[in-house]
Amino acid sequence: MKPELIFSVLLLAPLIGFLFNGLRWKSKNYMLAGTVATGAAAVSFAMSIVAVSRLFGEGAPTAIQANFYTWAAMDLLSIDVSFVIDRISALMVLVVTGVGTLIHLFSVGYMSHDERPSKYFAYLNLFLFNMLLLILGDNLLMMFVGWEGVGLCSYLLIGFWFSDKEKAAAGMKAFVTNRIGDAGFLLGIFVIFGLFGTLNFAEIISKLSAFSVETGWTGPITLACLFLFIGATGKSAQVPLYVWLPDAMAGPTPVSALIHAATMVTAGVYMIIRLSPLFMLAPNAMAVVATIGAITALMAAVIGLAQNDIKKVLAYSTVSQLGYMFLACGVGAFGAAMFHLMTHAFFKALMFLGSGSVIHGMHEEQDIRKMGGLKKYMPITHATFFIGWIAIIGIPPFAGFFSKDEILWYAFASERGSQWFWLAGLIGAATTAFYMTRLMALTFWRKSRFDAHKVHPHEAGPSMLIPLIVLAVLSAIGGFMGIPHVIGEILPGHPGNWLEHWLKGSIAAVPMTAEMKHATTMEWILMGISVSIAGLSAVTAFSFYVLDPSRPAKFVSLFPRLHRFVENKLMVDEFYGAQIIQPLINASRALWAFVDVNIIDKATFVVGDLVRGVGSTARTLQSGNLQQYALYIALGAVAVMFYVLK
Amino acid sequence: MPMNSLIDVGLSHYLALSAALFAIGMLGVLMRRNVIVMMMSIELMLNAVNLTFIAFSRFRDNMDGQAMVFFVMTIAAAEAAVGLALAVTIFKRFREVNIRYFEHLKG
Repeated sequence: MKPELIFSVLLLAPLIGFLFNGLRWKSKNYMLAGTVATGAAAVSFAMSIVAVSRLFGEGAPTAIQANFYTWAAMDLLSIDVSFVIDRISALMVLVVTGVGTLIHLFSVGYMSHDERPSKYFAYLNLFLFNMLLLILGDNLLMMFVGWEGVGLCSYLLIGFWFSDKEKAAAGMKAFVTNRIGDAGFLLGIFVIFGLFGTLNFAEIISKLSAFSVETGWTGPITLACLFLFIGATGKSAQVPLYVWLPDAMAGPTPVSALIHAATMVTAGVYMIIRLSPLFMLAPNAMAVVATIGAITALMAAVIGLAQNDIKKVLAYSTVSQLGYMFLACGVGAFGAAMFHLMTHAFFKALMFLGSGSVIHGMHEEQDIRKMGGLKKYMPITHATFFIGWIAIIGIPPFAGFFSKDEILWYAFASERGSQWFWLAGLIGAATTAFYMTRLMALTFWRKSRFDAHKVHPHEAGPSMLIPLIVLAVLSAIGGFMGIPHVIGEILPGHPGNWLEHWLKGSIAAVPMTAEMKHATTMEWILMGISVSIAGLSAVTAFSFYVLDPSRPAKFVSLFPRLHRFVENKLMVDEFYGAQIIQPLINASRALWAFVDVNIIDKATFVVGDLVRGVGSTARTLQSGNLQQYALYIALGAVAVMFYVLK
Repeated sequence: MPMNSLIDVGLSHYLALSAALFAIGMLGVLMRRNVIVMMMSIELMLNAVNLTFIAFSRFRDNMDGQAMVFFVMTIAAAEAAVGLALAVTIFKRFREVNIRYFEHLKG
């Protein structure tokens, strides 16, 4: 197959699915809508496999690309609608279409009782199309088009049940917050264009050899990186723009799994990985990325400790895990960031879908305080969620262990890392283990806290269980693509780090400090510390919530104010409301009441009055009196005569 | 052959008479309220112009001016027909031919 054909099918399948369902959006036939949408996603997935398989083998190209047409051709700037699958986007496109297909399938069961399934599946397919544009576009502008497109779909899907005012508001919050980030992204694109005269990724990177590492804060590359990172903080929910993501849980749960956990929110990380050679030249910008990542990882994990909505816990967990990815990018471990992006997509999509299954089974109940004992009613959901749980808290050999440990190791050992980054990551990991165990315990274990006569939890149908099982398998084995060398050496057959090998040459990497390069013992020690701390934290949570359920209340009563502070999400929303939004509203109101009413309005009124005054004077000339007109003619004739004869 | 005339009648005399007639006609148009009288005044103005044409034609030995006069007389006849028709219409409606009734035509 020619690359053009591959890319056409890959991209157009979801778009056709969108048109099909979008044109019959009133239909309630969820089976037809779901089948078409899932089929479209599956076709994309199949095409991705075809495309990526081209990159394997001896003498295989490092990238396949297709140029469709020139979108805009100007003197200085020419934008092509062209796409590329290289070693970075190959991984991403497989994750997006693969996990996407599973989540489409899950949605068929989940949305079976909904009023507007066609509209839902249309949006979902449109999202997939835009996400593919974002991933496959070979220049920043194509990426930006997809970037905005997924933002739109995110907005539409968060507010999918818009008749609930709170959910509609959550959609708007997501959109507005993202707009702030997008402005930064756009500025970054401008700076890059000014610097390199092109927006094509490959061309930008090939021109970088003319630049040297910048040391200050105001260099053009540092500036570009910081602007791009602002965009990333919006889309990927980092401090200070993360506030929209927890609210985005108002959307249907499969949407949370697809858009707000597995794919769209990782776009910021993906963008930084794509431009990793650029970021390498701006150590200060990378330090900002790492610091923000570490702060986010820690802060979101802490907030997650005291949330009672099953999806909110997972949302803060997502924010926290995204923080890890940025931490990895910031210390120069772009490969580790990509690795964690993929494993996170597996286990977080799994847990979101699991929570969807729980919510579905519990008749739309989301408060984990009203659950408990669901293991008995939903054995498969429990088993798959269990795998997601041990994957995220980092118990070997599940996926999360490998990726998170790699990040922690680089945070410690990289030339641009520090033990503080490592410590923040470690505490974050311990906190993650605690809140995830709490979530498991309150949802699935111990006695039920709901009225078994009124609520009858039940396992869902196969369309929801199959994705859970597939994702559980991926969460269990996904880590093996990135086995660290120290572990590989003692295993039979000495498996190497496949992912590192795969990405070598496609992305940049910061070398380790000299003494860490061969510090195998150190790596083992750190690995031991992080696993045992996470394990200890999980055991503590287990003893808190399973062995002695009265203990959390006693513990909380020791610090009532602190607990309330954490439960209220560290008051960040309130802080933004009081310090930014309200002053902005006040300023706007002041501008309206004084500047607009007193100056702008008055100025226009003066002009209007003037015109009206002239008009009302002039209209007396046209009285309708015939003799007056005759007089004008006579006077005019006299004037002309006077002028001619002089 | 005229003999011992009191004064020699020259071009300027004709022009002076014509100007006087024109001014009288114009005053009539501007000041009288009766439509019929106004039309008579217009006729007066037109004939003042005709007199000028004739005078120039005579003193310059050029017949063009005389030809022009026929045109003016034709136009004047047409104008009188239209004007009278208007006057009759106004009269039918208001039982008077005062010019102020024409103000009703204002849009």
